[in-house]
Amino acid sequence: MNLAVFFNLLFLAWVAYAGYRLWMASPSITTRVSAMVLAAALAWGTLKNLYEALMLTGRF
Amino acid sequence: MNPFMTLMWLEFRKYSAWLIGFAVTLVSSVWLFNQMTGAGGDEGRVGAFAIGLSAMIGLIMIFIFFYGAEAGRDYRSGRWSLLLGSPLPGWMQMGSRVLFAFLAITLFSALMLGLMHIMLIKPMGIVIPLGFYLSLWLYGLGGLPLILFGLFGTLFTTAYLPRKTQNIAGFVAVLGSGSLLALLSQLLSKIMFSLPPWIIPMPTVDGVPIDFKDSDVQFGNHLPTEGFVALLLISALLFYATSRMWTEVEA
Repeated sequence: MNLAVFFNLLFLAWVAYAGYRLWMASPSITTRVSAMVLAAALAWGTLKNLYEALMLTGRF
Repeated sequence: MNPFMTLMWLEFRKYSAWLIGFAVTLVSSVWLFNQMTGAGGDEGRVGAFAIGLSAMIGLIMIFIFFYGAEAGRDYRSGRWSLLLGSPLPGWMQMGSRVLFAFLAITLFSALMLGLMHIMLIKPMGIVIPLGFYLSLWLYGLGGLPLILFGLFGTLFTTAYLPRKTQNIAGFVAVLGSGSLLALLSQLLSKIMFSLPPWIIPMPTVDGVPIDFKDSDVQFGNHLPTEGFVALLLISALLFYATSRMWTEVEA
C-alpha cells in the first residue's frame, strides 16, 4: 500500500476517534461546537492530503 | 470595589515577575546594542537589530504561552473565588486578561522598537516614519488575535478533565487551528484586493523610499485590507467563544 495514503487514512481514523471522544467528554456547548469545528477542519486537511497523495502517485 | 479593576490588579500582581523580566531585557538590550555597534559599526547594527527583533518576538511568544496556561489553571481550580466574592461574568474575566496582556505586550514592544529605532536604525541613515510602525501595529491589532488564540487554546484544552482527553483536545486544538487557518487563507486569497488596499508609509534610505515593486516581494507598500477585516472578525469570534467557555466551564 502507498505509504502516504496509509498514514493519511490512519490519521483520519484518529481524527474520527478524537472527534468522538471530545463530543462525549465536552463539559459545555461551546467546547463541543469548538471541538467539532476544529476536528472538521482537521478532517478536511487530511482528506485534502489524501486526495493529493492519490493524485500524485496514481495508486492506492 | 470595582470588579474589573480588581481583576486587573490581580493580573498585575501575578505578572510582576514577567514585567521585571521585560524591563531587564530592555536594559540588557541597551548594553548589547552599545557593545555591538561600538565593535562592529553598521554591520554590528544589522546584527544587533536581528538579535533584538528575535528576542522581542520570542519573549512575547513565551509570555503568551504562559499567560494562556495560567488562565487555564485559574478557571478550572477556582483559585480566586474567595477573593472575588461572587462569580464574575466570563466577558469580564476574559476582558481583563486580554487587556492586561495587550497593554504589557504593546508597552514592551513599543519600548524595544523605540530603542532599536534610536540606537540602530537612525545611525544607519534609514528613516522609518512613525506611520510605518503604527500602520503595521494596527493591521495586526497589536497582537490581539494571538493573545486571544492563546487563551482560546488553553481554555479549550483545560475544559476537558481526564488527562487523556485533555491531551486529545490539545492536539486537536493545535493541529485543527492550523487546518482552519489554511482553509481561511485559501478562501481569502480568492477575494484578496477587492477592497481598497491598506497603504503603509514606507521607510526611506538617504531620501529614497524603499520600494519592493521590482523585486520578488509581492506586496509593495500595501497590504490587502481583507486580512485586517478577517483578523478583526476572528478576534471578535474568539473573544465571544472564550467568554462563553469561561462562564460555562468555570469550577
